[in-house]
Amino acid sequence: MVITINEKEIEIFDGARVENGLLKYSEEECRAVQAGEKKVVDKNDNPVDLEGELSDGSVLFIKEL
Amino acid sequence: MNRKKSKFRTIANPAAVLLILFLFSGAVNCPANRQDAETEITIFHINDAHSRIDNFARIAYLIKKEKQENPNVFFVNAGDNFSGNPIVDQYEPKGEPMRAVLNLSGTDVLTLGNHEFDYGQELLKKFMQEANFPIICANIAVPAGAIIPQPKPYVILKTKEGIRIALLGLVQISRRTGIPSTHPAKIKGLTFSYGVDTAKNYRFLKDKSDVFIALSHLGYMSDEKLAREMGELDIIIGGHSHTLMVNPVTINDVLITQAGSYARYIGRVDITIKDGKITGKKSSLIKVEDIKGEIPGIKEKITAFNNNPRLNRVLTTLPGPVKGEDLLGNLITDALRKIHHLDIGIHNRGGTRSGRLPKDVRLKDIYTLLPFGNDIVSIEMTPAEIEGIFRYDFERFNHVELYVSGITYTVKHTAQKRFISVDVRLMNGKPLDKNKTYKVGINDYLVSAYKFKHRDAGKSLDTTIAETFIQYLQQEKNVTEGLDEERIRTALAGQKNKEK
Repeated sequence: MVITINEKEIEIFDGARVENGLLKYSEEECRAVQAGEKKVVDKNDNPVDLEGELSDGSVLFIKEL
Repeated sequence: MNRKKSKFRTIANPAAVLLILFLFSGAVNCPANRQDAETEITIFHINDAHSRIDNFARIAYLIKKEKQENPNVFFVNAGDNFSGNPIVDQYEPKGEPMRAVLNLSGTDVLTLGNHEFDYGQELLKKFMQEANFPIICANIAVPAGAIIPQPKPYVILKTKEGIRIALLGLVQISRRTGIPSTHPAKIKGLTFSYGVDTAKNYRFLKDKSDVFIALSHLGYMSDEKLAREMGELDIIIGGHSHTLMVNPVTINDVLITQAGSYARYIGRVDITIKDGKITGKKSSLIKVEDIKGEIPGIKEKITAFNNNPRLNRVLTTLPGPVKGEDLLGNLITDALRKIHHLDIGIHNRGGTRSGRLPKDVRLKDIYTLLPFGNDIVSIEMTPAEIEGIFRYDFERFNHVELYVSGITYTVKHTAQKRFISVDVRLMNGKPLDKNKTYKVGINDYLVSAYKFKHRDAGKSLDTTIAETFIQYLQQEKNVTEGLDEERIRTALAGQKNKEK
């Protein structure tokens, strides 16, 4: 399936979670989210957690807290 | 003629006439116009608790208090209550603590999430039988003779004034596999249809209710689609994507909400109805830690579950302790490969903590060894793609990090630790068949963080390495045989001697 993080398209395995998407996008950014320095939101600016299950077409943004 | 006369006599009965007028007035079938005063209904909701039981004494307190103050309060659950905490997932029977707290919390209805299937159908059946609330799901078909009963697609809850709230249950289905994200063996014999498509078969519920809600475990993206395509709905209470909807969304006049995950928040939807019509609907979130009160009896139960002595029981006894990272890496990858019937298992050193497994293996030893909750992903890979992962690994770390099962590999490198080549072989010493693809089981961290080409994006097996490892240790005999095989080698170019 294909998801979008910070407007970059990422192909990822079926059943992936937000954390998998972040790792594929940027391990550094993923570590920042894991450390609580950044957060992940959807297109409506609603937070999603790292264990959230992704669907084809999911749109996410990594933001400063 | 006689029949007509008889029919006329029946209709002419004054009581019958009144009954017919009553029926045709819509007072029974059409919910509108039953009440003049404004009625307030509150629906609390949670989703994706994933075996986190600790907050349920507070949740139950809130629900009990609100139900005492207003009879038009309901508590609904949008699925995925299981999987994510060994206290619940490794209980005997699995999931029992969560079943208990859901029953004690005033739950009115629950929709199946994909992880409700994780413990298998026998335990799902037990859950469905022992739940003191209905469990709904519209997009599952259970054949005759199956283990679980066919869930009802929807329920209609009623307020004391007779206002009807229809809740339609929907579970997530992967577009690629056509099944929910759980291990395929867990849903054997069951068939599923796409939630958004199936929901459209229930448009009639609009006419049978005053408030029409999808209790959806489809995920936010699908909830948006559902709202766009099914304006009959008033509200979608969602789950699956773990979205904390601090900014609720309304699409096509359908309010979409979701309450994050792990029972850290409880969602609240307030609905106002006048003359059978919704005059207001809004959603908000309550942080569970801000709830000022707990039900002591539930708290005591939760404490007892958390201190369950059975969780410290011996799962299996090995011939002796397994010492050293390499032996443990071989054991873990053997488990991964054999339990899931794969050709090759791969696991990384960083995914493992503790260099020892004692002779008497307890649950805590497994979760100390494998603390990260990594899922297993299955990918069909060519030999060249398999080589690519070992190349990336060596180039990233300047040494090998990957344990394997089903194959051996030798990385050839320069004195400066620059990668030259990798030679991957089957356990019998033969090279991989270039014309074949291999089923590779690998943890989800590696698939996500490692940069290697693979045409098949892969598929989660919806089980963790820890769960797989427990199953392997309990199910297989002689698990320590062959563990000391040398499966990984590095070789300095131009030298014959090989080093690990």
